Amino acid sequence: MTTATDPAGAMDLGPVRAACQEAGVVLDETGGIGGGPAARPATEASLGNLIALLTDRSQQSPIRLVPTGGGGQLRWCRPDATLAPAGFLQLSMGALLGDPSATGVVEYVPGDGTLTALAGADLSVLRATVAEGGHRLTPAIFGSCTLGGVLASGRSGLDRHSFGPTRHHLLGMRMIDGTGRHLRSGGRLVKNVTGFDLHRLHAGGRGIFGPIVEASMRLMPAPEAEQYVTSPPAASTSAAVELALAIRGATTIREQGLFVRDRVVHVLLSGRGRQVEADRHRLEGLVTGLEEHDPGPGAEAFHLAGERQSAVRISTVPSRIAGTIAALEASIGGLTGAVIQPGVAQVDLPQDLISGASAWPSLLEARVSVRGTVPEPLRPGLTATVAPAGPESRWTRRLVEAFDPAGLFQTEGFPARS
Amino acid sequence: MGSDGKQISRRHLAELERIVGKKGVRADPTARSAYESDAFMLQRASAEVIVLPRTTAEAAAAIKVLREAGLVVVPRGAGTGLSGGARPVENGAIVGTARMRDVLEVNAEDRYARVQAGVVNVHLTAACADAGLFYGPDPSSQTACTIGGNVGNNSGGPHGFKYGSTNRHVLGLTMVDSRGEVIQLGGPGAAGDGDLDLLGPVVGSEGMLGLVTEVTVQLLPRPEKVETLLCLFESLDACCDAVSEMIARRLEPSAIEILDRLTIEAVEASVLRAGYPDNAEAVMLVEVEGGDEEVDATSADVIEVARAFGAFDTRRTTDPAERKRLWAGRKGAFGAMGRIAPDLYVADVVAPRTRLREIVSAATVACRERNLKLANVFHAGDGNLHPNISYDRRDADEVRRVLEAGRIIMEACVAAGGSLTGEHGIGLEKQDEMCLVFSDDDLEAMDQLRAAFDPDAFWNPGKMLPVRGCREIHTRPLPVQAPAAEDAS
Repeated sequence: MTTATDPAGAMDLGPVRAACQEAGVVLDETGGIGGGPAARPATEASLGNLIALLTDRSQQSPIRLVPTGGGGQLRWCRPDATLAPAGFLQLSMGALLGDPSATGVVEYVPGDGTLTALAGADLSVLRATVAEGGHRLTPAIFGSCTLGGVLASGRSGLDRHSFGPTRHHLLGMRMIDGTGRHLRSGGRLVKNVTGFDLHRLHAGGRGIFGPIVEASMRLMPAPEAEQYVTSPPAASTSAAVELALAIRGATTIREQGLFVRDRVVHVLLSGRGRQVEADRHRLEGLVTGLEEHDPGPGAEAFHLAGERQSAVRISTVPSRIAGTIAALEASIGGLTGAVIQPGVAQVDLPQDLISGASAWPSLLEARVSVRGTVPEPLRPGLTATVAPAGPESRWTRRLVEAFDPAGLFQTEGFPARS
Repeated sequence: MGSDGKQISRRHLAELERIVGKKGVRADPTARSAYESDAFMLQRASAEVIVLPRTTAEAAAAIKVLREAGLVVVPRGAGTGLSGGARPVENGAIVGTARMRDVLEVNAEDRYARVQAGVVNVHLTAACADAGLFYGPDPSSQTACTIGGNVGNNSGGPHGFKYGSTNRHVLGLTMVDSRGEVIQLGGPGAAGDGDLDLLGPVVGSEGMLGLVTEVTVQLLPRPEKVETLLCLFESLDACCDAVSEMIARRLEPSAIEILDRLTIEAVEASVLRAGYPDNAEAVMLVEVEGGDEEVDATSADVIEVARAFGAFDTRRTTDPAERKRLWAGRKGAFGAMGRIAPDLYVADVVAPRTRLREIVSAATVACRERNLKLANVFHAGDGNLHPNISYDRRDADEVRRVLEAGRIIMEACVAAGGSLTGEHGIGLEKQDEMCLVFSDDDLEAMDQLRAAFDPDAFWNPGKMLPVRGCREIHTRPLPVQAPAAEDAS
């Protein structure tokens, strides 16, 4: 989709001002993420009206929209909006919280282990809220981010290891589609199969079907005890990954998080107090020289180290990760690390190490999925690998036509189509 | 022959027989009569033809023939569904997975299995037992229901309390679309994070988005220790309250089930006799899994809560044979109720776990007022209630009263913040009640999702979504709690 833009990609704000005024939405012309224009709706009704107006007028006044939370996910999730913020109207979902001190919590039911919150709610605030009731919120993602942003980007935390991806904890959602309709899918209960799971499309949908307004999450009990331990540095990333795979394979150790960063194996043990002690003892049988970290600040540092964003993250089955890493190390030198989970292993590649494209053919032999902005020289080969087959591509096209008929929320290259 | 006179031609039948073999095509009335309903017996219809392919390739080729013949298709697993989702439709064929029973791969190292859709649930766990692995979802019908059927209904089961429903275990699917094209979604090693999740809407889509022919599922390592606990109560209410307290205390067993007195009597009078005591009004069956220390600590906590809420006896066992016997009684409870009356209406609703007692009481009152026999056996830990109403389908008035009671239970549940179904699906049974939960816009959006996958309404048409609009049904969705920010504005 093209817009009435200048060479720098800035949109014509005249029609935007008119639509915002008509819908009763505050327009902050340069106060959005990266200095772009941001609409700050105070109510869901006004947000729906604004989207409907912009869709109705899209023929005369083309525009591109991007729902935004804290902005932390935009770089890889919607790179187009990051590279040319003036070309997009940001829909600031935090504005729906109203008072800056508002938490965005709609309903926290400790007795049912569920949380419903506005999309613009800060994840750290939500985490603190449910911690008071003895719960933890999945994903355990630290840093500045919102519930809606994390859901839309499809991001999971290190706790994916024990609890699965974030979308598995999503119970239901309210959202507004590209025609301005207010929709609901799923519910607030831990078990529910009523109707099609429209919300699953929005989780990882990067906002292409319109903004998420509210989401309900299943909570997990806060653990009685946690230990964060690390191994001494191994000789290479490959050697560290081999050790991590041995830990994963030892089913008598119930590790809750496992990753390699800078040749060090990081392990999270969590659960009932005596069980954690027993698991630690068993772990010491596998790894000598374990170092334990302070469970307070150490917890956040542990998660941040594990989540360190990389230019590209490659996923494969655990049995292939060692070979993949060995091939990469031989080809392009050092690696930042890898995350090892029960059914998936991921290797992180930093931008500055991806110059050696010779490693990619061996990678592409494996079934890999790629998260992140693929560097231009590598894009053709990877696109060929990950592009979906015909029917899948048709389904995606029809979904977009149904929920964003004017294409206001679309972004280049996502989802991949054949 | 369908209502508009459409009937599959001999040429098309011959073509189907060429593709799937003679054993795989059933067009005679006697054979078709066996497929007139699933386990929701209140509505029946006849399919034009039953097609039973053995492979994805056969299924894809058969779909092309059926489409050319002008038929629509209802996918079917073992027919154990309880909401009418697999009942034939007019001018429709059944494509069943009864001959697709191969476990194609068990990968112990990467902990996944790839199976044909017709593999029976319990056979999958048996197939990976030697590798020290198991498959999480365990519906009560697991000795008969298929993995493909579980995908269609996003099935759960007692251990769904810990392991979740089918959608948390499916890594990938092979599907056939209405053109007969084969699609692979997901697969082992694909994290899926940050990708558009097409797999999510397909799981639980009740056969309305395509024909699932193969499923890749994650497998779990068998726990180090498993302990089963039996807690006996003099009151069903107290038993429900104890469960609510266990959830509030954030205890983490793998299953919390409740059986009431009528269920206990039916089980103990059947061949599935589990040794449940005859002096309890309600039994709570709990399973705790994990490491030794974890199991010991959690079991102690469970027993402490049960006793605090009036359990007059508690028992615990790690003996595999005894555990198996206790679970056989629970999983065979629906079958055992055949002793009470010829037919059984198995309701399936979900209540907030803080309000279990309230919904169980509402079901009791609804059935008592209509002179119906109610037995409760349910996944209490998930709030997933199964009020079971015994009846005789030959008694039209009793059928009317059963359906009336069923609707009252659903309404009570939704009014309490619950949902229409936790694992059986909407099917035909609860289509109109969708308007209790969703608005016209919500339902239109769901229909658009369906049409994106299946623009010709080829797959299982007329199911799940209300055929009439909600305004015509005169049932409005219950109000959604307004968000805090708008309250303040």
